[in-house]
Amino acid sequence: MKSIGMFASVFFLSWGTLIAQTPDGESILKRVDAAQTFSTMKAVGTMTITDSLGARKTTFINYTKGKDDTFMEFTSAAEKGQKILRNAKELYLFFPDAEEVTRLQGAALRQSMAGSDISYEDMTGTRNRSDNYTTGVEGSEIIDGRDCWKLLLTAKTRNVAYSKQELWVDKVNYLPVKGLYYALSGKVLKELSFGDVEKMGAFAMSTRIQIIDKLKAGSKTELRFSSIEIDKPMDLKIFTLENLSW
Amino acid sequence: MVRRFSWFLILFFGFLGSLAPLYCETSVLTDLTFLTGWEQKVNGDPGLWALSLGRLSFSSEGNPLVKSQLVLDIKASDATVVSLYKAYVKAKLADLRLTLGKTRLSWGDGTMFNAGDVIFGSGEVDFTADELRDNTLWLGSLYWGFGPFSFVEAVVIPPEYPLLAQTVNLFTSPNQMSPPVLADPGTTSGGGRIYYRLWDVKTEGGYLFNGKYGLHKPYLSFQGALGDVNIHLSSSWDLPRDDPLGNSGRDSWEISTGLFYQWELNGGISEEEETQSAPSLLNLRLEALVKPYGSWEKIPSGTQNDYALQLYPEVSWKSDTITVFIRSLVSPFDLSAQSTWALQWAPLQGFRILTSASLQSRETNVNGWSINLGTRVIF
Repeated sequence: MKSIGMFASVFFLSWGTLIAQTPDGESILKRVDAAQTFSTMKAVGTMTITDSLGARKTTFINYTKGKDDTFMEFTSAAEKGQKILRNAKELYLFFPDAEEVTRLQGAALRQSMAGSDISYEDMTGTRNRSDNYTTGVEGSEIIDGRDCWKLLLTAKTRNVAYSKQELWVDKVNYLPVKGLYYALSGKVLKELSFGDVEKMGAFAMSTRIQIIDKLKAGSKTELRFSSIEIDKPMDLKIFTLENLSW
Repeated sequence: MVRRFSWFLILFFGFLGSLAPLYCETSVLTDLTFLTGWEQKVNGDPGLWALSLGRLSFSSEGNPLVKSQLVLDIKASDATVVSLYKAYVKAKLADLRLTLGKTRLSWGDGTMFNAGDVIFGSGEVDFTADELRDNTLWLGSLYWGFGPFSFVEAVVIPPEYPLLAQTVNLFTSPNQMSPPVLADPGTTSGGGRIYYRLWDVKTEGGYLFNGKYGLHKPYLSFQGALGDVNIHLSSSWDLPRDDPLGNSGRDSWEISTGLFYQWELNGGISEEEETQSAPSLLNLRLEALVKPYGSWEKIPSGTQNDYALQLYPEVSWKSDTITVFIRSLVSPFDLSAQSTWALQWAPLQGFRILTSASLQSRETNVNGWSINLGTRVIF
């Protein structure tokens, strides 16, 4: 009886230690969101779309504020002067030839960006995943030499682009390392890999994101960020219609 | 007045040029389109045509408080014509933005029909163009933003000088110029608008006095969404200065409305969407122009503008390299329609292959058609 008591004590102690070491999925995801949410960020982006015909490069400047606000200005020749202002509920597009501001809501928020494999939600919705998904921890795995939590995210509503996400998160800096995005049928839609982590003061950020659209053979989109400024003073008028139509 | 206006142009371009030493960064963009087509018009023989279009754009860079742009259009077919598409300077003066020159202001909402566009109205459009409405004119405007999504804007449009439509040799001495043409200052147009978000609805109201035709043009415009469908509604009147409440003003009442739905074919959450072989975007748009005092029945020699209802359905499908669209202008009362089917393929960066076919019809009769093929390069 004494040995059973000792076994039970060791078992519950070990189990308790294990539980204490494995944070729950919700708290991990909140830390993932927090690791990618800055009060302000400015970066120069280069998006390269590669398919069987070759590579097409689009350049832009990206500004973000908090979880929801994004302002993008395209600088490459074919799209030069086109601008996008997005918040949680609206998407404003500016077309320079027509000097026209178009306001869109609803499904338009989920459209892809400049013909790429990246949706606006991929660009901006990744900072508020914990609001839109319930999360479970599936275990630990080593990805690209980084010790990661493997998370399973299930959509709370239909107003998000992916019904399910598998996400591998670095246990040290809580940055995503790999992601698999699923449709409702269970089919993988996109595979994302995050690399080239750069430390900027107290922050760290993946400066290279590769997106492979699993439904489009031979196509991939790579996003690279440079000249990154995090939590630096920023004129908040950037996120206004006045700046969009400037 | 021609002489005076020429000097104004010299001073205007001189002012643009004076910005260069301060901020030498200028970006140059070239847009070339080569088109050829086979067309059949009403009671005419079919014929082949070819056309080259060029757009050369110089934009100032570097100064966050001053922006200027000079855009020249070159059209070459049987003759070569150079025209000024845009030439403007914008300056941020504290919380105000001043715009002077030849450019565009987009008021109201709507792709094909926009009753709120009291500046440019709804003239003919090129159904194959990226932007259906992009015409410009000389104007001065003042813009003041009073919130992230709210602003007021005032505009003054100078009288139309015949000179503006002519080729001008800026090097001609004043003595060699043709006699001055006087413009009536009373034909100056001006007005303003307020733009704000009331709950989730974009609400816009404005007014323009059109000096050329002596018309008061008030308008209201709303835009919002019901679920995933974007909706807009605009209404305007052209009220004659001399008799604003008369029949002419009443008959001028226009209402434009539209629905727009955008469907991400592979990125969505439903099982149907993910069965597509490649990511793509399906856009469905339906717009209507209603003139409550227009004709609600067929009239013998009526044109589309005489009728109370016109429709603009548009379906477009876009993948990363291919765009396909069908755009039509339909008059339900006389069953006349103009339709354009287009396929554009962008296999390489900045390079597009353009194909399109157009058809004009009335009831069961085909009034004309054309088939067009071309290329476009932007660098």
